[in-house]
Amino acid sequence: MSANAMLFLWFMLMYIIAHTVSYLLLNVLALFAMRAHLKGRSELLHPLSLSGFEPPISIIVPAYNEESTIVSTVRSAMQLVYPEFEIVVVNDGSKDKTLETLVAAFGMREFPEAYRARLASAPMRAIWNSSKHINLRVVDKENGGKADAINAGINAARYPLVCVVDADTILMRDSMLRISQPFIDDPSTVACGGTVRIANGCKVESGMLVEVGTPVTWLPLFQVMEYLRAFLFGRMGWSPVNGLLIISGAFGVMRKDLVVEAGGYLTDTIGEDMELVIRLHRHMKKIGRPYRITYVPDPIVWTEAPESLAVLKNQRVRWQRGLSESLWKNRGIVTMRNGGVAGRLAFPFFVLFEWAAPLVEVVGYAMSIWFLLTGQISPQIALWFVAASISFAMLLSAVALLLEELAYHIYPRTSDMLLLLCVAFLENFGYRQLNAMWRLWGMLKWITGRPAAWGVMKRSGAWQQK
Amino acid sequence: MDSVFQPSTNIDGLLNPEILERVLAVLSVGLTVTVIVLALQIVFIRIAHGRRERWLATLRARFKPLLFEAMLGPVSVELRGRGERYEFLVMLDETQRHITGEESDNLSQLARNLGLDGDALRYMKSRNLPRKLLGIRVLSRMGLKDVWPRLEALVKSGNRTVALAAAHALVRMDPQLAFAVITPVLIKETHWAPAAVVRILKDGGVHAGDALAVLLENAPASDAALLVRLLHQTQDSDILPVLRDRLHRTRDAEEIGELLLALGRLGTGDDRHAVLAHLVDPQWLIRLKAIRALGMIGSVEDRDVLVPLLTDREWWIRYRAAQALATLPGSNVAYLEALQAEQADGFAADILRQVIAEQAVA
Repeated sequence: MSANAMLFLWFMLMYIIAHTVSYLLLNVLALFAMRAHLKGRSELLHPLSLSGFEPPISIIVPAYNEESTIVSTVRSAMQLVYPEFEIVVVNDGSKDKTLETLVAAFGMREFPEAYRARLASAPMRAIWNSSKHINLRVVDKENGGKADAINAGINAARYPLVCVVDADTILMRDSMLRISQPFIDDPSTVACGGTVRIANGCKVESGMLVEVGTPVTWLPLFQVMEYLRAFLFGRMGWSPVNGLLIISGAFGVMRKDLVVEAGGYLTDTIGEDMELVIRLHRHMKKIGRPYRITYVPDPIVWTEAPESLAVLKNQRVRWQRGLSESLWKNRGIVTMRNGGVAGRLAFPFFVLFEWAAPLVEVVGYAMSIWFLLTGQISPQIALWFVAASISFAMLLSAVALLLEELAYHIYPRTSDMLLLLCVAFLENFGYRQLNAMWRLWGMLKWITGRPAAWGVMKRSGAWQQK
Repeated sequence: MDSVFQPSTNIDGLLNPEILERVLAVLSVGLTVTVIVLALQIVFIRIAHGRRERWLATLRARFKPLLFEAMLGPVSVELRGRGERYEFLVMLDETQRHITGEESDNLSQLARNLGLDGDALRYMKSRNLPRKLLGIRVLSRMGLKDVWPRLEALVKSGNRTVALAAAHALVRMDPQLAFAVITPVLIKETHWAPAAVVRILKDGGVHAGDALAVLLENAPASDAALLVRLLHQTQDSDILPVLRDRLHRTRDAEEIGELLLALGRLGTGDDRHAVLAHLVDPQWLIRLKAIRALGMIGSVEDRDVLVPLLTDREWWIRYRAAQALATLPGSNVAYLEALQAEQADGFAADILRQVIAEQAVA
């Protein structure tokens, strides 16, 4: 037995234990926060609680080659229960028929709007108004990337809150009511994120989700587990201590004035959503105003998960690269005098357990195999090591499933839950390793500095037409 | 002698493969057992959930016809255990939300006969929000005066939903007395929804406009803006003299803004001069509201004061000025197009182009 191999295995074991314990601590925070949230949730939609103080919201939908899903997304947004909102679709120079599809579906007409360019963006071609829906507009512009499209949408937005929604998401009727609550309850709230769930396997009619189900193929099933872990305690845990560093680009609401003040979305990064949230933390700390960046754990939007390895790989490479860019650009938060939980705790946590995790994992696999092949560790130790790392991973998945069952009971069929339990086990054989390698590739791409672009994420849209 | 120069035994322990193997084995087995326990817990929760759903369906099927019968006259109901009593109250509350008068009173009488007033009182004291609200609603419909002081205290509670429910309960029990209790609170609690407050007052038969106008007459500036917002919701033009008087007296920017909007919506041509005076206010938010008000009550003569505002540095001022020009009496698309052609300022021309297009769409 080699001493180096033994020390290496001990280091790996300690890392896994630290990772799991940190997440379990977050889970405890999430449990308390969720308990408080659920107490008030059932009465949220009581007629007396409604109307009067809900701030008007501009929903911004950046779209690039989204002809198959954009109409459903706009239709689901149209059916939101909310006193005052507008929908601003930004067609970012799509090469397909995104604009034509919108024009045909909603009777869009070109409109000479006096556009205010407070945030820089690629040149605008035209603004279209719907002849059928007074609160729907389309900003048609030259291609400039997702962040650039959102900036153009913010320029065109008329209301004080902006909600950025991915073009492939399905909203719930009460999504906006739920996500606007933190802004009503606490005026210092500057941004709020919501839970994103996987829509593959669900039944969608007229742009609305009518029946929840699990995906029928393995890849989206694995992603259901990942989303449960990430949202139920990854984000819910950080929210009560104001340490939330990420609000999903698929659905988040922010105060427009502060986003503009902070400089809007950065166009030279692909992790623009996370980058802006950390920058907002820094901005608010810099100007010394009390603030909250918070999170609503209720299922708010449903999104289509990639069903092919190639698309999933692209997504994960982009995510890791985006994470790297966001952390690097905002590394100053750690040394800020008033860094708080976000700077002193959440940021190092993300670096250690989110950013570095694929590196540690892949190096761990490679070294373990090498030690085994060269006889530096025994097969028994190697087997026990694999068993222990799988057990740690399964523990986190099981806790996420338990939390889901206690709080939401979203999946009505018992077979769905049993399937997800199996998935929590099976994802450790191949899927997890692939993911780690893709993410490592994302890190390498960030280090080598390849240019950022919209992800090539061809949507089938088939599940929306059921 | 050699052993004296050996490194620390702690590191030796770590390098011992047997120790690592044991640690890994204990962790693997321990965690696997934990995962199995959690998985079983999920299954048990699901089974319990299913059972509860079936139990609730049976109860609902049993209670529904009984409640319909009870609306018309006395019936005999047998409730077994706390769970059934709670679910019966939930159904009773749901039914009473849709009925009034004698039918609702009959249901309240049934609840009292079954001793559910005690349960409702316990729920009202509970920290569980849905139960607390259930207790408040049921007790207020029973009209039990004993709970008045407790409801008064809840009106002042920090929770908006509880406070509104308690206010509604008080109004339901005695509208006039309730108004005296809740108004001092509502002008302090800016998180109360104005529309909900007005609805509560109207539900209780309170003439909200008059009552709020009396309050506004002597309200300090800090409370006045909210009161004007509330008055706004009543759509009652009898309150105009009070609004005019406040606008004449106040210096508070927020209140002035609310008053201008209210005058725009409820006022007449007589209010034009008061509104015009605020078009030159140094605070752009006041100018904005004055422009909106002028758009609603202005006349063709006001074009001259609105046109220069098309070049204001604030986009919203330019937009509202163009909109006001479009809505003034005698304005039409031809006038706006002619005005646009005259504009040397690009911003003014752009904003007019937008509003002309909006007119065409409307």
